[in-house]
Amino acid sequence: MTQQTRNRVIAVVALLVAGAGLAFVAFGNLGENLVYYWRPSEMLAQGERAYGPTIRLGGQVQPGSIQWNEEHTALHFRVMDSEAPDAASVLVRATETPPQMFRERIGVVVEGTFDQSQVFASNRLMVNHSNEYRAPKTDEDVKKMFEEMQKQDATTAAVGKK
Amino acid sequence: MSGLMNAVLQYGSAAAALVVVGLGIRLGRKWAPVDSQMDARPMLVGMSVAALVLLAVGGWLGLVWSPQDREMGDVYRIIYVHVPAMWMAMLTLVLNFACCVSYLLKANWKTDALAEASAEVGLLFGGFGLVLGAIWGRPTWGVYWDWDPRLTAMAIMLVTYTAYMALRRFVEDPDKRAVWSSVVGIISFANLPIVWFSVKWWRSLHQVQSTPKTVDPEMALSLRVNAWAFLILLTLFLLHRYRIALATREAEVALPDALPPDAPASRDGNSTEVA
Amino acid sequence: MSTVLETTTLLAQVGMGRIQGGWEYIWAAYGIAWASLSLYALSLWIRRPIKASRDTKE
Repeated sequence: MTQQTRNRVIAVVALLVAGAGLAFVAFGNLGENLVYYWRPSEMLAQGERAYGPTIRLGGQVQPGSIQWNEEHTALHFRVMDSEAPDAASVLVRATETPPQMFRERIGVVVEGTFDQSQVFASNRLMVNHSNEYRAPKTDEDVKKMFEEMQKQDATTAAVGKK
Repeated sequence: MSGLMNAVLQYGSAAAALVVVGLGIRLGRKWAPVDSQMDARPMLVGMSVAALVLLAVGGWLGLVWSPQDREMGDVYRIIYVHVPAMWMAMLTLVLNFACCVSYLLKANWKTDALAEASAEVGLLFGGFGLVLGAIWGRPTWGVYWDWDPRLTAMAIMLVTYTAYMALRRFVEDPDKRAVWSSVVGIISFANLPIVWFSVKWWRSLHQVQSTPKTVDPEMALSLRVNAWAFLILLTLFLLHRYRIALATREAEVALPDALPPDAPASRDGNSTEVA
Repeated sequence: MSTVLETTTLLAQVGMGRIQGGWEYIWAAYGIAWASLSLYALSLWIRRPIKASRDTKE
């Protein structure tokens, strides 16, 4: 076998190994074994098995569920599967100031533990952002933002009174 | 800025970059080989000036001219360096893969030299691109790093290409080095599609790829100009690194009698391996 | 103008979903990018092949 032929055989073998590795990752259902986070419904479906170990929970912040106590840096909110009215959701308790992008409906991933009290104790709160990049729309957007702020102001005031 | 100005920036930057890539390929053939007598200085100066000018324009567009993002405010401006860097890393590693396969199919020192150049330059762009992503992650996600599929796959990719470069450094026989590193290069490349598609295949912290539809036109323009500026830099880096690799290879593999009598001694370093 | 000011202070609160400032991250990112590119260019220049003496140029 000449060196040229040997090299070509090596090329074919290397390509096959690379292709097989890629195919295994792409089509091997790795996703089911290596889930980066569970959605609320999936975690709840685990029942007692979800109690104890450190896990990640991901979903959207349920509108109207954010309770922020600045004095005690205590944050409570619900993470939901989706915006559907009957979507599963889980109450999360975090003890850190959330990233500035944190708001209602935003995607979050929290890392922590879940137990019988049905409260997810988070010790790491991460916020997703979408693949959209938009300039703030001048008139209409600012007006909408301002309205939402006033609404938000009312809710935070209400929380403060509690 | 007027529509005319936008068009000038958009097409001008693309045209400049494509011309530089064309010149880069030409210089790679004519000027990079050791025995070249070509005086490439005017062209190289022109290409370097184009890189600096476009980089300056891109920096201004990204840092000053582009509007804020409605959620990320100013912080999103990191996109104009992070994304081009990652695109260049991907592009260069595709080139590396092509060279690795090509070398095994038909041995050629030029292919081996280009493989070496592309792996190193790809590692440079991928390496600092990853750091920029981490910096962007802190204010946006709240964390510098998390082991999500995209970040993990990218980290693995940097490790495998570092291993590729290390292998090249430690194997002294040029023939063995070229063959073995081609194998490592081909297998490392399997990870590149995983990095690219990880955000689509699995749940991750990193968002999926943006498209022109999900990015406002001004931001897309800034991103394009910066990407073309990076492509010019990439071309220059590859060209110079390829020339270095060719010179080293020549010093290693050329038989003494294939060279003019005074040449071998004047080449640096590897005189023991010449024979 | 007062609206703008009010907006800025209110937006800083938790739950508003907009990042304020953060230029230190931007400068860090651009600084690392420019520094990496410049240092690599420098390394290429240092490693440039010295032409053999038979070459009349240089």
